[in-house]
Amino acid sequence: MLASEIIKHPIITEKSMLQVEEQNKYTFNVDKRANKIEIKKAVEELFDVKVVKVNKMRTAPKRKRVGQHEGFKPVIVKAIVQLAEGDNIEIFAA
Amino acid sequence: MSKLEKLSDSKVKLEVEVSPESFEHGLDHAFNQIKDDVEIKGFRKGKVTRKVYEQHKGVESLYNEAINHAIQEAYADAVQEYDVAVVAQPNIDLDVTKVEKGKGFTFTAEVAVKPDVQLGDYKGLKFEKQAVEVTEEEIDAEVDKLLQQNAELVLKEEGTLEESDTAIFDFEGFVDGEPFEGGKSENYELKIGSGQFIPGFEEKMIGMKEGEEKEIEVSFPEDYQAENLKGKDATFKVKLHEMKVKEVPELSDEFVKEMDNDLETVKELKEDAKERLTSQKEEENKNARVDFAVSEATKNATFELPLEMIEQEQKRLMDNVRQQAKQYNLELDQYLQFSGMKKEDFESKLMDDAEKSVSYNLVVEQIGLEEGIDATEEEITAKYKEIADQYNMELEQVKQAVNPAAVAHEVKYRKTIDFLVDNLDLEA
Repeated sequence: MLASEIIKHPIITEKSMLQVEEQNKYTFNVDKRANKIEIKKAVEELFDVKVVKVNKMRTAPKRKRVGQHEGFKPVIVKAIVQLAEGDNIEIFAA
Repeated sequence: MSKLEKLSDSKVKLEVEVSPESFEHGLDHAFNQIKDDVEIKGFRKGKVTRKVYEQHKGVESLYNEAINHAIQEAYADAVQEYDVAVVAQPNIDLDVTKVEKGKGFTFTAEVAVKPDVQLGDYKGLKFEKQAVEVTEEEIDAEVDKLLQQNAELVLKEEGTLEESDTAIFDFEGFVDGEPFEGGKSENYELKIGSGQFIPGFEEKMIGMKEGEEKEIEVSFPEDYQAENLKGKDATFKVKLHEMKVKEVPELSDEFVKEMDNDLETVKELKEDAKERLTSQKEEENKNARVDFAVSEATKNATFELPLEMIEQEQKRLMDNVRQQAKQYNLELDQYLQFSGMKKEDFESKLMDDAEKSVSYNLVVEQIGLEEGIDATEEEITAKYKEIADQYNMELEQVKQAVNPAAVAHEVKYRKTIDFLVDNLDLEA
């Protein structure tokens, strides 16, 4: 898989921004098929930084109903990436 | 850095540079102001950081507020730096397209300043002294006024209604045989000859007797205020209940005793009246002198009065009137209607007043400056006491509420005027 296919987009929320500021950890929405090693490589390639650690998690499948049709909210996979000290990623711009 | 350029006697142009830091500070300020109302997905309201906000909405959305803030600060600094006596809001000119984040910008502000006053003659102005004299007639008139005030309405049991009697009567008016609105009343009290009713009505009542009923035919005047009654012929059914006549008390020692506890005889009353009239005239005389001194000194001085100063004063005067109107529960427009003034007339009158008071102020201030008139600590304290007495407040309260500079100014103004009056050349 291409690096740009693995990393879909950054997740920018209050919580994620706080982690950027305090711990140099960046959160991305990633392809669910990617493993931690692939994610690490992709981030390093795309943003030219050194990744120390990757934590990966799935969001819970939430029940959703539209009229009589029942289903689930799409499950997304988030990866929290710990960068090496001194590195940062521009798009988070913190 | 900023530059100062004098455009005219009463106008300066300031060129002020805003540093990148203070613009940044302005942006911060602008963001803090709107922060609590910004909603961006992923953030609770009011928790958005400035970086995220700028990515979403663009830093330009902060410019307006930021520029205003930065200009205000820079302008105030510049005013202080050059020590200009600003009297109005500045006219600010700025090329907004040149503003950029991370850089400073320059703006120009044109503002009206207190003009330089070139004083003319103000000492030894010739003023024709008016003798303070009270004539016999004036005293008599004063006494008569007192008598009239104490006149009583006495029931008149015999005879007919005459001019200047007061009639108490019922009436009902008809136009074309139909009663009309407001045309009916009972036990109405009317002084004959006062001209309260439509012309002809009061005259036709003269000669009526107590208890008499009469039909009075009159026509409404063409300029009557009710549209539907203008120029119409009307018949009033009138029933006279009572007649009252005004009884003026006789001028005697008894009357004087009853009127005033301190006075005993007619002679004393007259003397008292004379005293009052004299002091009244002296007061008028003094006012005339003050008026003359100030207006003459102003006439002799040359200065260029900025329009903004006048307009500001006019606005202040207007607000005063509005306040007054409010006490009667009226809007300004209504108030003007009642006092029979047209809005344009009123405004131009205020404009004149404003111009006068502003120029007087300037001239007196300048004279005070040149004569080295200053308010001492004691005088200021005395003035505070005066204000406290006037409003029934504690001295300390007043000191907190009223700006000492304003009080000092007031004291100085008074002293300067006294100085002017003292230096009048009184012609006998």
